[in-house]
Amino acid sequence: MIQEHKLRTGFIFLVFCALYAVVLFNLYIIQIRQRNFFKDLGSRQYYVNVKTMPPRAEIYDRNGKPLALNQDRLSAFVLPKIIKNSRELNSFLKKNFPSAVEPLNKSNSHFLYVKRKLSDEQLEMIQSANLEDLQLLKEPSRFYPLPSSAPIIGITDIDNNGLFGIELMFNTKLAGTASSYQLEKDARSGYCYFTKETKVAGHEGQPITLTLDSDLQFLAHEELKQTVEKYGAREGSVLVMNPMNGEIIVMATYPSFDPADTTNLDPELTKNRILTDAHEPGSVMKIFLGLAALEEGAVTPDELIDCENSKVGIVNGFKFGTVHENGLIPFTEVISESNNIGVAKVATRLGPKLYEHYRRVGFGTKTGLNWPGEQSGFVNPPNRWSRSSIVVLSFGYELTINLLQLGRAMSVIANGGYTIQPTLLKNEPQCPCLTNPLYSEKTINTMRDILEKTVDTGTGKYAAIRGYKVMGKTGTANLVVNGKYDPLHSIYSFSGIIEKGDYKRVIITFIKDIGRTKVYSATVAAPLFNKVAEKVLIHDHII
Amino acid sequence: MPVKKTLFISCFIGVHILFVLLVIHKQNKFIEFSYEKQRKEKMIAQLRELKKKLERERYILTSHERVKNFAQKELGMEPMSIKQLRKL
Repeated sequence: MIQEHKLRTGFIFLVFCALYAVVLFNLYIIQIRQRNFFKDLGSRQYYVNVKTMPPRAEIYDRNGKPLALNQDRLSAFVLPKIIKNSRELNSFLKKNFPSAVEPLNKSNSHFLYVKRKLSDEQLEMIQSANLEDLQLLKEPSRFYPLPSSAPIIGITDIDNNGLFGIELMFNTKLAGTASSYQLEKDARSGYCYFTKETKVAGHEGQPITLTLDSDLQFLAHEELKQTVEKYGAREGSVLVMNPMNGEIIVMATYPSFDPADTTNLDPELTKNRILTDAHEPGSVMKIFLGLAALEEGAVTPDELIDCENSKVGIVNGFKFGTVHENGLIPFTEVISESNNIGVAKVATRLGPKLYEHYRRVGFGTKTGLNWPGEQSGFVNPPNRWSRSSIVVLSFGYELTINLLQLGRAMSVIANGGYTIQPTLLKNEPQCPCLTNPLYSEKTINTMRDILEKTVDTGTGKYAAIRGYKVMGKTGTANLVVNGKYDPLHSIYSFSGIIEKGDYKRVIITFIKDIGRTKVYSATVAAPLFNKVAEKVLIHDHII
Repeated sequence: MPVKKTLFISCFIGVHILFVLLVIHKQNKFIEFSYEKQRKEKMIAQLRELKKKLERERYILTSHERVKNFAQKELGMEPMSIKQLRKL
């Protein structure tokens, strides 16, 4: 009996020992053999690493008005692995988001976007359908309050990275850098955390303040739009600059695009054509021919030039036309009347020096704005000249320029002969360019008088504003169509300066291709200059 | 002696229980404040979002285009020429 009892207790003891051994073995497996695995598993349950991007920084105009702000947009998504009512979801998607049906059926992932950055109508549709499986997620996006500045500000893509314009140029600065945190949370709910430890401290994006004036940008854009529509032109641009420090105050192009509706975006309309397009400028180049000739002493303002009383001239054996017939007129009048024969004759006296002078005021070199896609333009160098080159260069052919280069060159005349660095960034250290003037004071003053006369009595009379000093020059140039200059397709520009006391502004207006002949800048671009200049003066309280 | 021993044991256990309770209380407070902090953070985030939304609405309502249309269509205002201005 005692032996049987001992046997039983021994057996039970052994069973328990075996059970303990199993437990110990399991503990060994869990605690020692698979320690790292379970430790990681535990960490994953209790610790979450979160990476967050700071909100993209804003872009402001010179007066602190926002040009680019942040906004949250909703995106629709599904979790393909845990769809509860696939029939209902599929029929809704087929009807409203057909592009999402195929990826959903083929998807092997846990998460699938149905549509990112929903429009108001799409959101309403989803909300009214009230589908359990279709969920919404907030994503950062941009809002642009001033559509007329769209080609300058640019837009961001679906992931909020800059696509073009300022958004692209300063993408890194605006975006900032991501921060990483480790959150300690309870293993089950996951909604709240106990502690938050910063692993990598990122930095906020830095806001950018531009030199643009949003009010003037809008007003200039409105005037530009009216002119383009009035003449049925293909496009137009307006540039307003402060010639003393190079600040760009207005940079408007029309047509452009609406940054709020980028679904069918035409890439052509996204260009900041003031910089990305270069044209043969036509007669506005007579300003710089005049500067060169006066500086080199090739001509004096009062010297009489024989313009041959003809609309057709032959210089250097090259036959060309001019708009007005003029006889023996002083050089000042040659410029103000925009006589091609007169300027061509003066240009032949300069020879290759004309090329040097065009380069001196910045034609053929980029403006230093570092704008993506900026055209540096081209000035035909003397070693590639034909016998007609010197003639046509004098009235703005065989060279291409962008409008900012023209604005920069006009600033030389406006500020007394000094080169400036155009800028779009407010508070950027201005270049100390006011050291060596490019032209003598005498030359600059003579040219200013000539340009004032051009507005008072010459081709630029529609640009005049009573009570203000307006200087400028018109320019009409035929465009090349099928390898030939076509008078039906032209560009019309006016390069001008408006002054009152110390107040100075350079304004360039440009209209492209109105599809008519016998129309000149005097009646297209000069009136636009007048309207824009009025808006600028009223806005800046220069009365 | 047994009374003293019992008292000592009671005090010992009592002090330990007190410490345990204090630790639990501290942990509770920590969690409470942590949750409270997160509630406030959420509230701040919601208010920021609301501010952003209101700002956006403000800029839509005061957009140049809207102001221009309102001035011209509702108030009958017209664009001004510089000739109409006089400095007083």
